[in-house]
Amino acid sequence: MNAKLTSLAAALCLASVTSTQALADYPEKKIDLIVGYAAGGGTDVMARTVAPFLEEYLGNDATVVVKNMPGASGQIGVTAVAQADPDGYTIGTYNLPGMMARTLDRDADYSADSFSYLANVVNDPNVIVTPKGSDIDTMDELVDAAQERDGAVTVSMSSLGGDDHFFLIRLSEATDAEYTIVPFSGSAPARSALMGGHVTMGIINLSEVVNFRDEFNVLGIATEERSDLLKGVPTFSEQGYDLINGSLRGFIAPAGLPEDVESSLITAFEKTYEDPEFQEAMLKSGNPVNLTTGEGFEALNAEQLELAERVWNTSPWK
Amino acid sequence: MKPTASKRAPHPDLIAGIAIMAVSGFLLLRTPDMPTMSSVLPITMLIGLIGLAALLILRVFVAHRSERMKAPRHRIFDSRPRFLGIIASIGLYVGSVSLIGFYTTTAVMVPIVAWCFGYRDIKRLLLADLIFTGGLAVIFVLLMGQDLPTEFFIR
Amino acid sequence: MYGSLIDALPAVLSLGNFAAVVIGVIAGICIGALPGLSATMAVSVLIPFTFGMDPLIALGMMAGIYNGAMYGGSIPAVLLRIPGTPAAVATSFDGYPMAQQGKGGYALQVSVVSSAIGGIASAIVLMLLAPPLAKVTLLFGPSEVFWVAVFGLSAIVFLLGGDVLKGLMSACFGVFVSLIGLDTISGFDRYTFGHLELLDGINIVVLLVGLYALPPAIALLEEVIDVDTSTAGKLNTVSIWKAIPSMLRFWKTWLRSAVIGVFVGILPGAGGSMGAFLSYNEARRASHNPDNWGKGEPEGVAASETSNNADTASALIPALTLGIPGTAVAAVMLGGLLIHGLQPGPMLFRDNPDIVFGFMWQFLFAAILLIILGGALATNSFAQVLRLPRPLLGAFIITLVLVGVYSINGRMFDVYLMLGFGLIGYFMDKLKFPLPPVVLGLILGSLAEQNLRLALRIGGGEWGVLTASTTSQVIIAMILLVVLMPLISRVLRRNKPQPSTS
Repeated sequence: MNAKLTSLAAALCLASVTSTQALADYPEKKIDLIVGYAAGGGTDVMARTVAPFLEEYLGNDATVVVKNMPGASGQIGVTAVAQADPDGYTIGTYNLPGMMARTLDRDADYSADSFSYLANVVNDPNVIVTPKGSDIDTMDELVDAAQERDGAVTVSMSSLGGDDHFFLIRLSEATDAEYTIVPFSGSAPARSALMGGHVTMGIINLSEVVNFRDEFNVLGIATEERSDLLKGVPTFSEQGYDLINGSLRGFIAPAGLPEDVESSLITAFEKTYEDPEFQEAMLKSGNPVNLTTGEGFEALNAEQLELAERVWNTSPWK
Repeated sequence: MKPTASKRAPHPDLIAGIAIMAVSGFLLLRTPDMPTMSSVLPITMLIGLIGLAALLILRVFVAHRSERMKAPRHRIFDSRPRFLGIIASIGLYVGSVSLIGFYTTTAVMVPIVAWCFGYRDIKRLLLADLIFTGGLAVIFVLLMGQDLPTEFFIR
Repeated sequence: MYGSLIDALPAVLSLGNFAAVVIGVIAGICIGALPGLSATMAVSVLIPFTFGMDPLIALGMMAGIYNGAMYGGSIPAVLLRIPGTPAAVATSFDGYPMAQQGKGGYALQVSVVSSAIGGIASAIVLMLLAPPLAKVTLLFGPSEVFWVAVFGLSAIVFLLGGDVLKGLMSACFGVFVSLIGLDTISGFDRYTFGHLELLDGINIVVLLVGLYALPPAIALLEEVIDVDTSTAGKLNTVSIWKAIPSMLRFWKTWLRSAVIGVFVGILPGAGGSMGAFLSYNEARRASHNPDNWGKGEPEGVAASETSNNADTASALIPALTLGIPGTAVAAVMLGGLLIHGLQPGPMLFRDNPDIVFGFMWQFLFAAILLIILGGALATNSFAQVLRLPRPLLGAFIITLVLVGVYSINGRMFDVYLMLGFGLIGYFMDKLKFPLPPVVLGLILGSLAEQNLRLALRIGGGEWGVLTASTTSQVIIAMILLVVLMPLISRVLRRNKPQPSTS
């Protein structure tokens, strides 16, 4: 306790000397973690699961406070992060391809250069599902149905311009067929229409199907290798369609972060990822983890932006 | 309602009708750049509003001449200076909340407004103010952990 | 399955868990009673705190808050004609006239008993019928939801008020407001004028507070004469246990409204406000003296309150079994479950029966507790609020609604928007434009539009898709029935000799 007090006092003294020295003791005040969605959403649950581990591995008695800034499918929150001071005390959650897609279909006050890319934590691959009672339960049958007549296959979506939408556009290219997009507002009605068989197929994420194997036929998973979470489900590449896609969730900070701050944040994320407790907590809350940090994450973002641009140029969704 | 006022001032429905037509018309001008399917219902609603507003205005004139039509004239303000005062205080309050913080503004403005609008028992006023602002602080800071616009002295 | 239901009971009755439900109900009533604070917000505020809690305690508080808030909204609706939550709008139709006649206490008692009955019915349905009812949810695709929305919109006819012209204008305004924001089907934004805050549409709480809470608060300050409020504060209540027997005649309304509430609860996208409107309307249609409605008919309060509480537990039926939340609150609760590593689905019932079934029990207890806690709180404490001097009360309400609206999303934009609606609401109120059609239009306008377009898209542009399924046909038959029934009964009455007049 005493040692803690002295170290705190020392930190305070240092802080008052110069600001550059203070950075070495990052963090010395609370860190705001901005979530662009309301409390209780998937991204929010991820942020709240990560926060305590981040506090532990940042050391220095760090406190990470999750702040929800919901609105405009995450755009309000991510814009706030882009415009915050790059001092390491404001970080935020980040969703791909959504955040990059927004720079194309809306007037966004940020771009790919507005951020320091810290860590992508979740990679939730797409799966194609059909309702259990459906006649279509293999990719071949689906493609046959789709090629028979343009638009014969209806696909439920939770929104336009998201990972599911991009996947569909790639699917459309790969199978040389036109699909009818049925964009619901949000995942609840989309899922309901899918389970009830009101649409032919749905593109959802791995985490949404794990507990519902009895309710859906899973036609394939958009990863390079089969997933342990979904045993017995073939990848699309196995079935002859080169489709790898998914929803990515991670953490970013405003661009221009001091190097030592950036590296201590990235290190904390790396340590968090290696913690078996963290892995378990994420799995339980339905988040398939896959870590990409720093430059790797930035490259991933560039790749996603390029894909989004390609899709936007060939078949804009609005 | 004073009968003299009703002769001089235009019928409130008339003003409302014109205002609704103007706003709907303006919004209608913003519609053409939307895809057809997106704009069908908004255009229907706006045209509906304009049409109904036209009927409303028409009704005022017809009622003016014939005895059978009725266009009831409702009193808008109980007291116009008070209404303007309320609007001004709300404006001042909102502006000041975002400038100097929520709790300070509330603690200062609530008793002043209540005093201005007729409650003159200073002791009870201050007590009520204390309980109210304190209660809000307890609920929002301690129980809910919600951030309200921050006070100027802790920013 | 029913065995696990009994097994889960002891844990729920432990002191800590039970206390959580009690605290939840009290907090919920208070939150619901404050205009601007809604159940959705309260539950989402709670979620971060539940992170370190035992899951059952956290869920118990949520169940309590949800039930409490749905009733709490009726308190200001009855006493001040300011609905505390969107779902309480229909309660104010008859609750406020009752309060003006000095029967405010009775109105609140009817409201609390009906709320409890709705909640209990809903919890029992959740416990016993979750799996089969979840399948009912799946029968409703876009075309079926469209017809349900049309069914709801048919209620506008009864809400137009005396001046049909102005009523229609209100309805148009409401539907128009519901269209503001991103059109999710085409991806275009409508009338947002570049404001990101408008993309998700107008939050119903913002509109409701602006239209319903601000104008009465302004009126409190505006009136020059300081009316003696001591008589208004008298609720003339008898003990709730003595009042209950006189309510037993509402049993038909209770039953009907509970069924409507449960049904609306399991439909994604509908929610408690729609249930309250629908059941108010059905109760009025079934009533022998529909002319008394809107003038202080206790049955109207009973209908609306039963139904808005009956959607609480039922909204969790599809949420727990299929991962499809029936209402916004249920969606937030799903997040609360996820935080504790509890993923919805059949696995949840297999792996964590103690928690799932415990949660269901908590809903039941929360509903029962409502009678005791709600009755005591409302009749003894909240009514005192009315005794406050009018200028002070006005200033308090204005402050409260500002805080409430601000904290929905933590931004001033919503406050400005609300003030704008407040000004519109003030003039609408003074010019006798009816407000209920605006709310109904906002709730159902875009719901109907979207689902119609989605249905047509699924059907490849064929209008036949709308009437293709049996479910659709049943709903259409119901709509025709309720629209034609009054006509038929009028014809029948004309043919019959009337003993009263002759």
